[in-house]
Amino acid sequence: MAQIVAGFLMPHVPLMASIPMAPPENKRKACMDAYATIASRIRDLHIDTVVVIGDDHYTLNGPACIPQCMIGVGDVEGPAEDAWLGIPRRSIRNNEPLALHIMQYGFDHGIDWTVSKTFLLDHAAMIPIEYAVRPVASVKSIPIYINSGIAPVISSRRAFQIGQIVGKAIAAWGGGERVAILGTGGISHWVGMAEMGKVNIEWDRKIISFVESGDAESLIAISDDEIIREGGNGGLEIKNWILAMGALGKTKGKLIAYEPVPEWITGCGYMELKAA
Amino acid sequence: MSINAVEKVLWELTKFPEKKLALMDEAKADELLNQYALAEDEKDLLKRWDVRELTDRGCSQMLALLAWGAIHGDLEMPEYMRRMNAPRST
Repeated sequence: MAQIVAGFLMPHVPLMASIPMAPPENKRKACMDAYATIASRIRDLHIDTVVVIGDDHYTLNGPACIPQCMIGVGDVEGPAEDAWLGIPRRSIRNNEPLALHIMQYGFDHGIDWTVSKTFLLDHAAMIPIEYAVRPVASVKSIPIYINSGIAPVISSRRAFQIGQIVGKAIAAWGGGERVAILGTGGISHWVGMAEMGKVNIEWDRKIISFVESGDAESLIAISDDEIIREGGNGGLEIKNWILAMGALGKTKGKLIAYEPVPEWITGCGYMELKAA
Repeated sequence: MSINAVEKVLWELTKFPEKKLALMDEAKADELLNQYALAEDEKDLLKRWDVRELTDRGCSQMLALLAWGAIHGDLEMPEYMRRMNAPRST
């Protein structure tokens, strides 16, 4: 049977690739070392498939159609923003049989996915894949996007429920895959807002402490208004983390690194989720 | 005549280079904006790139930033921030 053997939470700041030298050396190194740590864990745990939880930034879908949850079951490539991101567009290896199974299991258990047969990823998935997955040979990536970026955003409760269903889907799969869930984005950042560049270290630490104690309910209880006020519109991406926690079940989080990086307009948090 | 149409314009500016070029050309900007269900003041806000007022009216800040970058380039981000933090005109 397939099993989820780990979860990792990490930022997906596009500026890491587009203006990598902007922050001081110590902050750059701390962030890149954290991705390298996650890559090492993926290698050491013999993980062969990652499910990458990201979100659109109006880089993929426009106001004509704003999916609440979307899964890539076929061809995958990225990044969409190859003109400026600093990462060339390329194909990403999907695990199509498992992706199709998660899709169908979701349909059968209450997720009305938007399904992408040709998923063009934006930085939300591409940054984690580039820095935490690509260094490990032959790991496949299944992309799942929830709408934690564009109003009307998905509720945190629903993100958690989707995570629970994804976790059960993987457990029900007859293959022998060793899977990791990557919850990406956050923590505090104000994208395009008047406060852009601000980092709320205190709020970021609060989010990290909830993850450390495996307290998904306290994360879910934070209202969207509070998230935007304390963590900016980019802080809503903790919903991606919440989904990852839902997929893993009872977990405790271990902090890998935290760096407030105003030059990348983000409080950058890296954590590993372990079974409690 | 809604912020939805404004978002449609901004999103299409990030996707279709010909629309970006049209908006940047004073002679073609009106022709482009007349293709959308925009009020006159919304057309004016778009032509003046009043991102503060557009986002105050409900336009996605993320989309405003993306569209600004597509039109003005990333080097003009300080000007975006200046406009976002400018005192409101009454």
